[in-house]
Amino acid sequence: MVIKMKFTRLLLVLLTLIFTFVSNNFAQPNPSMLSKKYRLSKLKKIMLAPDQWQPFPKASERDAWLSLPQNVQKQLINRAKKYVNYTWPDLPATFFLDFVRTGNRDKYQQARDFRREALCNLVLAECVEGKGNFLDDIVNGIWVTCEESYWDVPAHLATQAQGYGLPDVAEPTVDIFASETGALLAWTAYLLGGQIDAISPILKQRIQIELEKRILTPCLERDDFGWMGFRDDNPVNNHNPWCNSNWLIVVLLNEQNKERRIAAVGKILKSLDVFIAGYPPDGGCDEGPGYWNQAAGSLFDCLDLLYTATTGSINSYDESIIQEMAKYIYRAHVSDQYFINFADASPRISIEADLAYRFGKRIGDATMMKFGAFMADLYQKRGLTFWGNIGRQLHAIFNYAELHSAIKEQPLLRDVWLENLQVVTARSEQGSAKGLYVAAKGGHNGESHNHNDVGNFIVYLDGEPMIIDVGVEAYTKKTFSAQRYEIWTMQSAYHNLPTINGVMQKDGREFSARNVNYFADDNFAELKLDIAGAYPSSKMHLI
Amino acid sequence: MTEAAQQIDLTLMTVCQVNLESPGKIVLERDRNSSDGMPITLKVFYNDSKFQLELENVKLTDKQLKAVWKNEVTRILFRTIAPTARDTWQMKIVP
Repeated sequence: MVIKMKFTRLLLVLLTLIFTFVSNNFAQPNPSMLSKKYRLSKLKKIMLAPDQWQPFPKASERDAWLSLPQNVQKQLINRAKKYVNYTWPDLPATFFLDFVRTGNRDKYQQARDFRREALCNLVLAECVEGKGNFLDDIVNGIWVTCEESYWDVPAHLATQAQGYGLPDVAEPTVDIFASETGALLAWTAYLLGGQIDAISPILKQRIQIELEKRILTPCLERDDFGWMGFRDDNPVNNHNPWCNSNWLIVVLLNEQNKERRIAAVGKILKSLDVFIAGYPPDGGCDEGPGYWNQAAGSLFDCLDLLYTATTGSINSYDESIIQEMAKYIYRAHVSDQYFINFADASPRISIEADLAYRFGKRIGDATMMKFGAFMADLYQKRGLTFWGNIGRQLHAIFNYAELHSAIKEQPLLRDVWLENLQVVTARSEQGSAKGLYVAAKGGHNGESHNHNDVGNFIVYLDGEPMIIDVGVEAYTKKTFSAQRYEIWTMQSAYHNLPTINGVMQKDGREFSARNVNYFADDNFAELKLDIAGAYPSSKMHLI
Repeated sequence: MTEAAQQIDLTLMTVCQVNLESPGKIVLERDRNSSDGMPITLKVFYNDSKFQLELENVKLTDKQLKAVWKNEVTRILFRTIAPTARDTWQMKIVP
């Protein structure tokens, strides 16, 4: 069964389904790009000691904080005022148990997220204002965080020996939100160390104890956290660079033992190599653009931390695969707030604009820098300037003046063909959102955050979605279970695809597009692909 | 196909209002987000001798989907009228 999608610029999209009978292998990038190039012996020579690595001014360096633009200072202080005398939300065991009892993730995660946001905002406000007005609430935030039984969320207990349910404090496991919490406390101690020491030296000691117990030791000693990529049974996704970036921050700021510090960085490089090796040469993110912030974006966090912590000795920005992974995000951009949203993605996502700008700058891509500046401006007009984790906010704060005075332009590329991911986009005119825009995909149904959607397409007109990919509902226990494809948004019947005798596409790497051909010139763009292989063959008899 | 498929259904998902203007022609219409106020339309042409149309209004209850698409999306189902072993269908989508 062949679908041919022909996009004639300015005029039409022609969709042809041909019912007659009619691979997706690619050369993997170097699987040891980082760890072989930067072996432990080399790391020993090039890594800065903890007290030498000063990535941002500490709160006590008043001139740096007071020289920030006035609107930035005001915004950071104002948003933290509501957290003065803050009542830290409770995290009762029954909230935690919701996940196994009802599948609901929200109640626990929301309360937990409020805590993290409060502490992050208080810390940054105190750094800017420097008057001690936020310190007591910061102390409360540190204390309450250190007293939590588990820093991650109920849905991430997979590695725990006792399985899902309540967390076992005797076995601290690490996934993305535990690592984020570790990094938040590490930054807090780094930025405000002197101030919190003056209240009680116990505070920093406590942070150090918790970081040792919950992040540094388990990450160094265990190899079975799925995100690390050292187990054979599961491919890695955004969790890999996301966790590694946070672990790396904790190592760089808090690991005082030189041998352990080098060993941890070496292990992080090895783990990142697994992630990079899973990417095709075109840099396409099979999890969808909604995960770019945490996939390629978190890899950039790691590369940038490594770059600065070795005074530029670790420099991978000239590697083709790194550059392609960066560019994916603007290649998946429809216009303004919209992105193509195959896989678990909303069409409206908030990309980390400052990160995109800095990533573009590091790889020397002016288009990406302008894109980052454009998105930063777009989000700022909607009241979104500083968000995300504290490490990224620190960059966005100290890069604010440059980012907001940079040239802003959305790329609006006329044609994109990601030949490995098998995603095509075409629009009527380069540089304009006017007219038609089409995106379509081949690929396979074993992609990360997969929907059964081989052959799916979307159509925008004048920048507005018309024929759509619905996207994904809020995650529940069912989302990442054996029942995933019972959810309607994951099914081919609710994508722009055929259903044959009531049979939908099937999940699995083997259910894929075949004979995928792409062509584009000034007049049209065409994608032709056989999608029969995405359906269970026992139900379809193709000649 | 070695044997005729009894039923082939082709889905189009849309956030637009769906007007079945005439046999073989559907008009998708929605308001623009931009300020000029004029609705935006896209026409879908198909072979009405081969397909029967069904519209399914999919009510959205999930907050994440509602935040993007509001209360509902429409699934347009093009259902083949006769069993098919070998055929070629074309659909044109034009502004």
